[in-house]
Order: sequence, then C-alpha cells, then structure tokens
Amino acid sequence: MTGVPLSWYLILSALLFALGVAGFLFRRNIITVFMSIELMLNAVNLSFVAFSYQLKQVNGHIFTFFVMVVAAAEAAVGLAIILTVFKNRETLNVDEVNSLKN
Amino acid sequence: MAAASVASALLAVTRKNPVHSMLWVLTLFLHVAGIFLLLGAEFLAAVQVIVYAGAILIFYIFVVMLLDLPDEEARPRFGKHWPLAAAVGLCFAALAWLVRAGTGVAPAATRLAAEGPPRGGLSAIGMALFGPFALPFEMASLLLLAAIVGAVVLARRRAAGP
Amino acid sequence: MPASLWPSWAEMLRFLPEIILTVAGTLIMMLEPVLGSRSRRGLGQFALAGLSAALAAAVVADGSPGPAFSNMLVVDGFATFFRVLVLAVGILTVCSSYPYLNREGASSGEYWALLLFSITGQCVMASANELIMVFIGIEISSISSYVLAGYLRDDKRANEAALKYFLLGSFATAFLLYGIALVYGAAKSTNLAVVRAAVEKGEAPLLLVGIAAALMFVGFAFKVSGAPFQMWAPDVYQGAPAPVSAFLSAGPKAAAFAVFLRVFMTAFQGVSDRWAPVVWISALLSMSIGNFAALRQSNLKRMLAYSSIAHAGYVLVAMAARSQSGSAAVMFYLAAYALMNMGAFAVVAHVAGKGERYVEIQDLAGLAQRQPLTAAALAVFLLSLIGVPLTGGFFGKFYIFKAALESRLIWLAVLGLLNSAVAAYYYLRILVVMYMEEPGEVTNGLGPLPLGLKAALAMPVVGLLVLGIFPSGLLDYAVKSAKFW
Repeated sequence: MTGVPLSWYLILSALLFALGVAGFLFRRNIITVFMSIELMLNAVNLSFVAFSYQLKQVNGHIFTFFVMVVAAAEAAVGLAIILTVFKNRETLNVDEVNSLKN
Repeated sequence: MAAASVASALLAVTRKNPVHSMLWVLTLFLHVAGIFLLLGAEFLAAVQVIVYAGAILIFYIFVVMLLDLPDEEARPRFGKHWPLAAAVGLCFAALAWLVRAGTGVAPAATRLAAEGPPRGGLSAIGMALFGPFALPFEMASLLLLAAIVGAVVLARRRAAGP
Repeated sequence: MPASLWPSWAEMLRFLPEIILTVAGTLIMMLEPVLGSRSRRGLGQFALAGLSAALAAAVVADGSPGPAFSNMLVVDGFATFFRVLVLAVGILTVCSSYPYLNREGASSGEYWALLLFSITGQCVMASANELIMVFIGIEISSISSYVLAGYLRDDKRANEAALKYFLLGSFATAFLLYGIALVYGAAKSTNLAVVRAAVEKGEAPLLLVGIAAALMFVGFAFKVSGAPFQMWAPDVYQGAPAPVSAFLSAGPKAAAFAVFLRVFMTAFQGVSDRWAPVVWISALLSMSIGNFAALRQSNLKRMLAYSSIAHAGYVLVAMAARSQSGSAAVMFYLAAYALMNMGAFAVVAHVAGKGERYVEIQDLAGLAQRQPLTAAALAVFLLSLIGVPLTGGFFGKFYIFKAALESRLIWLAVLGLLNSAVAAYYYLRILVVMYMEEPGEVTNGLGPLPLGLKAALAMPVVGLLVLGIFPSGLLDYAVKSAKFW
C-alpha cells in the first residue's frame, strides 16, 4: 500500500465535489459554471477509483471510464448550447439569461 | 508521497477562484491523473490525461476563443494574473516530478495487491468491458452518437429557409 | 468469463425494443440525405412506425421475463409497464410534433432521430437492473432532450430553456453519480439486488448508505422536478417548443420515476424508514409550491409546468407510502398523467400559432364556440388533471390517497386533498375562459386542426375515459408487477 488510508481519498473527493458545487452556485460565467460540473465529475471518479482500489475490483474503473465518456458527450452538447445562446444574446452571464419570467 | 499529491491537488482547486480557472482546472485534471496512477489505475490515468486534459479542456478553450469574449470580461484578468500563470507553470513542473515519483511507488503497490483479482491494468479493463459490461459499452456509443447529432443540430448554420 | 460473449436469443428478445429504436433512429438520419424533399416528410411516419414496432416488441418481450446481458437489464412487469408508457408518449409526441414542425418550417430528420434516441434511453432506464445502466440510460435520455429543448435554435426562449435544462440536469447527474460511487463503496457492487442484500444484512456501513441515498435522492428529485429541486421546470417548459415540453413533462419524468422507485424500493428498501420522511416533506413541498405558483400564472405553458410540479408531488405521496399498493398507484397515476398532460400541451401547440405567439390563458377565450371538439378535448384533460370522476385522473388520485391512508400517512393525504382543491381553481379558470367568454382575435383566426394533432388529442381522450371507467385492468397489472423481488 502507499500508506494512505482510503478515507483520505474520500475526503479529497468530497472536498473537490463541494468545491464544484460551490463553483456551480456562485460563479456567474456560464463556462465556469459548466466547468464546475466537470470538477464534480472528477471528484466522483476519484471516489470510484479509490473504492475500486480498496475492493480490488475492476468495476469502479469501468464506471469511471463511462463517466469520462459521458463528460465528453456533455461537453459537446453543452458547449453547442452555450454557442447558440451566445449567438442570440452576446452574453455569458447567467444572470442576464433570464427572459423567461412573468 | 500521495499525501503531497493530495495537498497539491487541493491547492490547485482552492486557487481556482480567478476567472482564469481553465488552467487551474487543467492542473487539477492532471493531479487527479497522478492520483489514479498511485491507485494503480494506469489505463484510467492515461485516459484522464488524453480525454480530459487533452480533448475536453481544448474544447473549452476553443469555445472561449470562438466566442471572442468582450474585452472587459477577458482582458483585465490577463494582465493582472501573470504571476498566477507562472505559478501554474511551477505546478506543472511539480506535478511532473510528483507523477514520476508516483510511478516509482506504484509498482510496489501493484505487486502487493496482485494476489487479488487483476485490477486497473489494460487487460483487466478490456476483459470486463467486453464481457459483463458489453451492453453499457454499446449503449455508450449510442450516447456519443446522440451527442454528436445534437451538437451538429445546434451549432450548424441557419438553414437557408423552409 | 462468466457469460459468453454472444448473447442468447432470449436476451436479444428482451432488449428488442431498444434495438428497434436505435436502428430506426439511425436509419432516419441515413435516409434523410438520400430522399427527395417530398418524401423527407415521410420521416415522421417512419419514426411512428419504429415506435409502434418497438411497442409491439416491448409487449412480446414481456412474454419472456428475466434478466439479460449479465444482469445489466431485467425485463419484468414493471419494466414493461414503463417501456410501453414511454413508447406511447413517444407516439403522441410524434403526432403532435409533425404539424408543429411543418408550421415552424423546422422539420428535419435529426429531430426524429433525437426523439427516438431519447426514448431508447428511457426504455433502458425502465429496465435497468444495475446502477451503471441507470446512469447511461438517464444520460442518453437527457442529452437528447437537452438538444430537443433547444431545437429551434434561433428562438431566444428555446436557447434559454436548453441552457437551464442542460446546466441543472448535468448538475443533478453529478449528484446522482456521487451517490452511486458511495453505494459502490458501501455495498461493493452496483447491482441493485446485491446492494439490497448488503444493506439488509447490515454489511454496508449505514452512514455511507445514508449519504448515498441522500445524494441519489437529490439527483432523482431534480429529474422528476420534485421540490425543493423543481426550479428549472417552469423555465424549461415555457421556453421549449410545445410538443417538446409535452414530451419532457411525460416521458423523461415517467422514466425517472421508474428508476427512482426501483432504486429506492430495492437497493434502499432496508433503510426505507430513514428516507420516507424526506420523501414526505418533498411531496408536500412539491404539491404546495406547484399549486400555489400555478395560481398566479397567466402563461399557459408556465402554468402547466407548475401544475406538473404539483403532480410530481402527488406521485411522491404514493412513494412515501412505501408499499406495493403505493408503487402501483405511482404507476397508474403516471400513465393517466402522461395522457392528460400530453393532450393539454397538444392543444397549446395548436392554439399558439406560428412562433408560439399566443400562449396566454386569455388567448383561449371562446375556443368552445369556434372549435367545440378541441375545447371538449381540453376540457376532458383539465377535468382529469383536477381529478373529476369518470376520468383517469380521478382514479389516479384515489389510489394514491388510498395507498397513503393504508400506510397511515393521514396528514399527508389530507394536505394532498386540500392541494387538489386549490388546483381545481386554476384549471376551472381555463374552462371558464374557454366556454364563457366571447371568441377573441386568436380563436377567430385559428386554422383547422391538422391530422397529427387530431390523433394526438383523440388518443389521450379515449385513454383517459377508458382509465376512468374501467380502471381495474391497468391497476391489476400495476399491482401485480409492483413487486420488487
């Protein structure tokens, strides 16, 4: 073993996840908000790999692999959506994209 | 050694606050790849570097450039934060060193755990992907197809009329 | 290798609906450039044929229940029920989208392909037996729906809807995934049966399981638009094209409830007394927020969005009952709800006109005099949404509150009934505008009902009346299949 208990990895993962959530909630630039989601997914991957290591299984690795696939797909679609929004409004500030209200 | 890696990853994230965060996230991705190596997931570490750091991040940067952010959003941060950029560079160097040191540790760990079922290696992942996990694998291809079609639908030029 | 690499025919049969849908979606995209512009219009019919074939396959697959593909999927009554439901929603969506897209001049093969992909994802969700399939199914369904919501890409409202749907949807997915990761750590597996066994035997650390359940609850609550994670729904349903809003409020939601129910009633069954209070509170909040906000809306689509939040609340009431009859009530209600909501949105799509200019409640004034049949259909949907006897909505609510009372959730049932009374007000207001007021400019200028919309209105009306008069057939099936192991 590398001498680092599993809980450290989990704590790190939880911290990263929390930072991602904070980024999502407090940042105002759409791209940064989107990137916070990637951060959260990375935190999740870390948990999967750490658990997989502890359990000596390969399943967690497979799961991580799929998370990466999904992250790539989400990035493609998400950035396309961001492009269309920007084309129509010329802003990337979340607060300014709010025409749907009464 | 892993503890140092953990600490440096934390550092990268907590300093993410400047809007220049793209590069910080990049360092984070690389750190995570390093941790994957420490955990014996060599294949995932490679994928992490290639897909996340290589493809997804570049994608982001492309979009940011494509959008040509208005000056007041982009320029001030450029000038003010060049020391941070230097820090990023240092981080890279530290990371490279860490990862090299990390791989030095990893084989020992792999040997220790080798008594259990194989994990992390390329062949183990391959066998699992095309064995029990064949169906999710196939469905993931559908997912990517949907994403490609979707991105094209949204981003292509305006149709020339009905 | 435990399983041979080539799956058996029985497994292929159990997976047939998804295969048909994928092939149909891919074919549509391959055919589009080959066909001339005239026969391109037939792609909608092609999608319809694909959905019907998949529907037939789902029914046939029910004849050979069992797991498939190394336990990744399981075909049982529950899976069949939701597969048939989402496929029916798909058929209705195609019917109402066809005239809509022609009117907007935005018809294209990709729309149908994405719709079929999204439904494929929902079918996978309905039959998933492994958290990895839950995850991939949800993602296929959502990624296609994000694009569908923003399909009219020159429309500012649609862009915004897609953006919000996308950001909050992927945010929710991340929570769901973190929950899955912790389940994996706690139970050493992501197979639902194994997780359930580990939780019941107490092998899994309770703290970890609790956190995992909470995180997954957040993820699912986002997907079904249950409070306090409902805030995306009004904006998305208002901004998306009307047939897509109809689809989003029925298909992905029903499928999300299916996995929600399956995961919480199997994997977390052993700790159900811990999560029940959370569902209780969420049900109450969803009903109240949905109904009271809907009261204040003048935009028809936004009102229907808030009402769909309220209906998610009713379904959560049945989930909080944690019993077989509660699960059956969830299934029955979702079927009735899908029909009435699809129908109501189809009327909105018709009245809204090109570019969706007329989506205020007031725009319906005098609809009964100009197009009595359309108005009558909308009246059936609204009465069913209220829960008036002889409609499917009545029995849906009846079974939900019956299940709640059986599980001694007396307060929740009482509050739910009070909420239904509040809801009656805003639905009746539409009826009043439609029947009592003189026709306005909008209803006078209304074109005839296109064939697709006729079908999209007639089928739900018939379905709701059948459910309202002979509910026992569907309910018996639901009770029979609401057993999780």
